Amino acid sequence: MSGVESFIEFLHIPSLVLTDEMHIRSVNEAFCSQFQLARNDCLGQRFNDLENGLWDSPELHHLLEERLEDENAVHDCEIRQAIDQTGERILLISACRVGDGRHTLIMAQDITQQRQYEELLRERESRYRSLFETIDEGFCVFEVLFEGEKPIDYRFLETNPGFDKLTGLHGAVGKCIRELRPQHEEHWFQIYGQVAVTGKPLRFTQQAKHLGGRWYDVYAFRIGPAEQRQVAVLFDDITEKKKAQEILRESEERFRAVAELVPDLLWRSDPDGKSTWYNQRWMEYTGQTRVQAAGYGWIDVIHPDDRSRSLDNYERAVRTGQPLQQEHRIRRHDGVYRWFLVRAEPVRDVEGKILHWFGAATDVHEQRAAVESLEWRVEKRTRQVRRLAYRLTMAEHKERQRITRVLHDNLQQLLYGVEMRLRMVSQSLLATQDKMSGLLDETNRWVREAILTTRNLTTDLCPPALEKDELGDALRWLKRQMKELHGLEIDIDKQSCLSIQDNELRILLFHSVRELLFNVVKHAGVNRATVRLEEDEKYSIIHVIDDGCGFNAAEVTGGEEDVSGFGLFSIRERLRLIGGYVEIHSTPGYGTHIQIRAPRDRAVQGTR
Amino acid sequence: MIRIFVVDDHPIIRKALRSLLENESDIHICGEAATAQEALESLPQANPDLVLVDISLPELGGIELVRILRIRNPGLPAAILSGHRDGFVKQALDAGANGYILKGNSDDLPEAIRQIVKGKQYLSPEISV
Repeated sequence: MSGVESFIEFLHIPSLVLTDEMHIRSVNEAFCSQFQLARNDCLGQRFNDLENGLWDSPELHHLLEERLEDENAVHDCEIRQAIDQTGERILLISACRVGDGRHTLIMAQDITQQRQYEELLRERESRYRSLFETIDEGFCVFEVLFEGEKPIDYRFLETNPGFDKLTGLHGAVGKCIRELRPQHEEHWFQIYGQVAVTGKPLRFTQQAKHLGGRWYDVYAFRIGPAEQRQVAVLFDDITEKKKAQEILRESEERFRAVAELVPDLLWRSDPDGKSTWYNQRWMEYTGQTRVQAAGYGWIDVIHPDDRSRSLDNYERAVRTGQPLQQEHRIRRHDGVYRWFLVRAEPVRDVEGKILHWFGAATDVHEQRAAVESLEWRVEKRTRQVRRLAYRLTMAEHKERQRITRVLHDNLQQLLYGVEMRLRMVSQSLLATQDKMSGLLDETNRWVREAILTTRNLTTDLCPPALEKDELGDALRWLKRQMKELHGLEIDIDKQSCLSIQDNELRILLFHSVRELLFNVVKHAGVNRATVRLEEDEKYSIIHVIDDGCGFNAAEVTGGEEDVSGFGLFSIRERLRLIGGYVEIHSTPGYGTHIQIRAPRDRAVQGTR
Repeated sequence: MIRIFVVDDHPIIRKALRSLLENESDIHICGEAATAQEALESLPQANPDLVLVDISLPELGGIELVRILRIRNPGLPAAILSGHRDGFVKQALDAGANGYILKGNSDDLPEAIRQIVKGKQYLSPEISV
């Protein structure tokens, strides 16, 4: 037996020799090392009682006691033993009878780790296989065939379903591409031959005319030993994408051709607003280079006064995705600024995501100048009209004053004198000439009537109360006059006052209120109105209110036609000239409330 | 005899007033002036019982003249003669006028003068304050 015992000492395989009583007779170093047992602890021990409990399993009993009895030797039997602390262990056992059949040589290897690796590999392979089978991309492995150093064909070793689908080739494994597609282009062999020889992976896009003219995006890499010249290829059919690119390219070419024809300045920006392209016209007009204009370079050629506003608008449009429209001045290469109408629109994909912005700047310099000129002329004319209206008020009043003076200073005084003289004559004749006296009395009455008429006329033309600063007094005089002449009752607070030192403004406000009260008489259908005076920090305010039939305020304030009958247009324009305004609140059937607001610190536009 | 001083820039009015009032047995025109300035100069010599002042005098107006008279001759009554029915009445009374007589109805004038001289205030019936 010493021969066997010596022999196992040389073995790297964990081995031991058992007696016929299943006691350990000898054990080698490899066994002690692998199963972490001390040799002295093992020798003489019953095999099944070894400390680690690994060897006390029914399977091992069966193997050593029954199978070995029958077969004399057993090879590579896998025994699985569950160990509490370490989980399942897998032992690979070979055993045979030695020493006249009285001893048993056991070679035992713990292959637990090996089996675990194998299991892992199987799982991994299964996963890769599953991936390989299910991916949309095509995958194949082939062996490149050479004639000398020239690659002439390749034979498929493996393909996935994606391969069949993307190439239209079925059952390709074991066949050469020349068998399947004899006209297959030469460049494919060149490329794959290069990968097979150099081992350098290649990614490329190529068309296969004899595979339906399809375009492929290909990644080829060598697998296995170099001498096997096997290449794996992962590829995708990009024919549709290629067509779309082609269409896009053609479209882009057409666009650029058109873009260079139009007189507008055009550009394109990325979704963040940075300009990525300008047409040639932009370059020619501004004198910028593409590098200068790129990104936000366009800002440099915007007029300094427009720059901040334009940039704010542009950034807001980019941020919100809303189209942009604005006007700003763009500097020409010679330094002259011209006005442009700028429009920018986002271009979106089918999901609404902004792909880029497209913008166009149209030269509107002449139109703008024309509009500005027209607006200026209209504004100037409006100012003239307002000044004229204002002057008209003053002229009217001065004319009233002149007529008043003539009536008062001349005609009235004459009449007073005549009246007194007639009275005196009448008294002188009373005793003697009754008839003459009667005639003179009648003449005297006529003269008095003439006096009354001229007096009323002078007062009406130029109310004396208007000479005083206090507008309230003049309006209270107006109250009496409106009552006497037109039967209109006016409610105006006795204490109500509005001191206006500016003579012309006082006249304007007085005549405006009178005009509004005439409107009440003529249009409102009521015999009562309210006049209220007040002030705030900025304005002297006069309210004229009635509960009459009202009118559509929007029609009167919206247009300037056919409102002269109301006198509102005239009032509004005259007030506007001095920085005041009229507020009209009226609805048919619900009365009218008009506010006249005149600035306390008035600033008459234009010359007075 | 009531002594009247007339201040009016219209000669016709002055003449007519003189003719009219001198027809009254108890009234006498003791002086006249065309302007306030003239009046202020002549009044001390004229020594009237009443000054009739036209409201519309050139330069210094009738109401202003009354105001000055109230200071210089507090006891001398003054009445405003006016063609304006309203607008100036309160002003005239505030300035110290004893009467506001409307031109154009001379029937009432002598009686108005008599009342004012008696110390009463007179306002023509047609006027309003």
